[in-house]
Amino acid sequence: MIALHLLRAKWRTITNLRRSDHMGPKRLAALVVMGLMVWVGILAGSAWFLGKVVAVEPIGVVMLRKLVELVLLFLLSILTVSNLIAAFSTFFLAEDLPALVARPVPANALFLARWAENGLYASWMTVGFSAPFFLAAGWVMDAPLAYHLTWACALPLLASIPTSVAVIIAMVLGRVLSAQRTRQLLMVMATVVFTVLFVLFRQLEPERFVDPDQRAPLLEVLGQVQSSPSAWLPSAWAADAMWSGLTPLTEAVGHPLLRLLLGAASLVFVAGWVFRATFPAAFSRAQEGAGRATSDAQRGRVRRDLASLAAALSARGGHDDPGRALARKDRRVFLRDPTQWTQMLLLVALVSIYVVNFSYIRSAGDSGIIPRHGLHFINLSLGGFVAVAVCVRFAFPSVSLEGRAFWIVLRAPLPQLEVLRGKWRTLATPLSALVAALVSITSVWLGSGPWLTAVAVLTVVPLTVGLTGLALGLGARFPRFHIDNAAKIATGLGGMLYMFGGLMLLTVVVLLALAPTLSLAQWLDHGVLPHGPLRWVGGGLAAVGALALPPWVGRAAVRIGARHLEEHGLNA
Amino acid sequence: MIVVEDLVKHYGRFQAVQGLSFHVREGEVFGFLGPNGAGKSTTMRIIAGLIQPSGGTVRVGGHDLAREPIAAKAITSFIPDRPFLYEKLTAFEMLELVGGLHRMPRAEVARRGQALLERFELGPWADGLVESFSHGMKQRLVFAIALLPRPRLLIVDEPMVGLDPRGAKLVKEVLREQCEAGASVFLSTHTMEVAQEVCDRIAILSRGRIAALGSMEQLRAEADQPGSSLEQIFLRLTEEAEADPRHGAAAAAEAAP
Repeated sequence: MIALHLLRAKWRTITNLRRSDHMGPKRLAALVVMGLMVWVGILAGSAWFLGKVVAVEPIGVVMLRKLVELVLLFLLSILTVSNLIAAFSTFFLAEDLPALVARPVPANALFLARWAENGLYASWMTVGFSAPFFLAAGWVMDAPLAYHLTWACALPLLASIPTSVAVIIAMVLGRVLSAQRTRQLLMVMATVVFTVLFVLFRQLEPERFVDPDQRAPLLEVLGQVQSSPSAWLPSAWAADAMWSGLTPLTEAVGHPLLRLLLGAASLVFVAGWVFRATFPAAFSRAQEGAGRATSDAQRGRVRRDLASLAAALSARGGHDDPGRALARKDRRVFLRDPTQWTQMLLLVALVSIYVVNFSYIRSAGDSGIIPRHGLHFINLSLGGFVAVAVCVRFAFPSVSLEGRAFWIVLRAPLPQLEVLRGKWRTLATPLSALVAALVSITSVWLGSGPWLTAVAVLTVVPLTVGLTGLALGLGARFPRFHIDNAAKIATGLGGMLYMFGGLMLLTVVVLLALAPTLSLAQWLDHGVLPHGPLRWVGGGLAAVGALALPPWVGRAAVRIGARHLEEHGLNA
Repeated sequence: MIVVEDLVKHYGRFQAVQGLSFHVREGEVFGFLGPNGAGKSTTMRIIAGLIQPSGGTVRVGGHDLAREPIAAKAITSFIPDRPFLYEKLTAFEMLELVGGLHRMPRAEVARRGQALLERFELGPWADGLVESFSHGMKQRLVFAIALLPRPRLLIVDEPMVGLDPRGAKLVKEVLREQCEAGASVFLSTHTMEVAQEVCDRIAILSRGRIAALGSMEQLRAEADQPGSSLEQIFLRLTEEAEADPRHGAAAAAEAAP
């Protein structure tokens, strides 16, 4: 009962969002409408795609089975990462915890309330937006109602398992390490778990299912479905449960949904036991964390005395430029914050996934499914998509991550436009270099030749610069100074607007690049130039548009963001 | 140094500041008192250039804050009630950052930064990360970075929060020294003893309006309580102002430059 009472208070904070100054009814309605649009879009896209998959004779149904398994494994990896990251805040850092711990709240009630809060907070979005995929799978298979009831039960049960695992890990780590070290270790563990699960994902080799040269061995996979190498994973139990609803003839070992339920319930029990045994000491240790950090820092980090620091600065002479001072500050903060390193690890993982998965696109090109010039645009689109994803991770949270210390920059005698332009330069340079390197490597790999590779780089660099500006500007327009988790900052209205705007910009740029690039390709292949002034003018304008539009959009977004910061400051 | 005319700030339907007018002279410590929610912090944040007003004008050192915000900020330093700083920078790097934002010569940042850190007893921790500092150490560091660019106006919101008696004494000395050097101090506090001790003139704010303004003697006269403490005057005037919102109109008229 007390657990429900605690959860009710949390529920009220959500329902009161419509009255909040930071959200308000209009913004909340916009967020809900956009969320619904995305949900319906996923449903429509999934129904279309799965319909095509199932229509592939004679293996369509097996491919669907594997796809369900892949999606569930992917969900499990995402849920594990988000639960691990959230667990530390929920159980050690939450602002309401000291007040709760100081009250006569039974340990079981506190555990259940926090466990549910952690699970809901870390999983609702992933589970909610994956639901249309499973709904679509049922549609295309004309599944009975029992299937839909099964996935509706299986998804929350599956989501509860990473929550319990995350609580157990957080409690054990919190018992033996300081609060700060626990947080850092959880971040690293989340990245490692994601990477391991991704390796398992790769072992399933999804490209084999759509590569015509590899379809023959796929029939062998038909017999291997029941003996999947990841059968010990909860995602495989959920897949078994759903599949038994989709194809009643499947011979599942035991009742898979019951297996999932027992697994999830056992883990809740274990997590509760670990919580009761370790939380009081771990929470106490987390409270002492600041004091311990002080003595550690004073002993370990104070390396130079004041006189030598002053002498070194004085010896450099001249005076600092505000832009340089801010860039140096950003660099120092980034390098000293281990939570940012995990962002880098995730970036490396993203790039690896991109490069590895490109083997499929290459094989599709080799087999003639996609024409050679089509590969150029697919390469461009995927490179742009990586740019959109990287910018939402690094550029969008850039202003919000300044946190409540941003008053120092707001108070400085320089316009906010200059501050944001400085950030734009600092971020756009490495991000453009990264995306250009990716696109040029994959372009060479595809055999596009030096000219088309140069065109790809020429197109993607201004696009990344523009996307960086768009992300930075919208991040400044919708800042969340009180959130210190970069991944969570982009989950609001601003982040959704950026993703929507970024993908729109990418689409427009690829469309604008079509005519001039194909003209160039025609000239390279056949030595034929376009005829007629109209084509020249049209092609030229499209080329200028593709190059100039993204920086213009970025510039406009940065201006909007700067104006908003000038007007509202930390209350923005 | 500060001239405020008909200042208005509303958040939606709520009027936080309702037509404030007052001025702060050069070389004086001007106290800004009022109960919670009276509009003190909002007014200070507007004058510090952190938020924009809904109406009225603010001039700092002759610069209109709406038209020349950069020039106004260049001669002003702000000390907020809660010392949020970049946790991953060291104390000396914080000074280096602020020096850079004010385009100060590096040699001057080094010389003055060293002196200020020593003055605020942070010398041994100059190379320590801010995240390892106690609240009081952070508060003293905020004072050090505020004084680095030699501001002509120091805006201080609740200076004594988190300071031990030794730190509080140091801050009071620093505020007086600033005035003796010709700078102005615009100070908000709930600690009546501090206001009574260091302020030349005091404005008492209630519900976004000035309820009373003047020196201690003038306030005593207005409250009709000769010989009383600032705390007694404060309680009397704010109660009167809450009972009659028109109260303070005379003070507001007197406050106008």
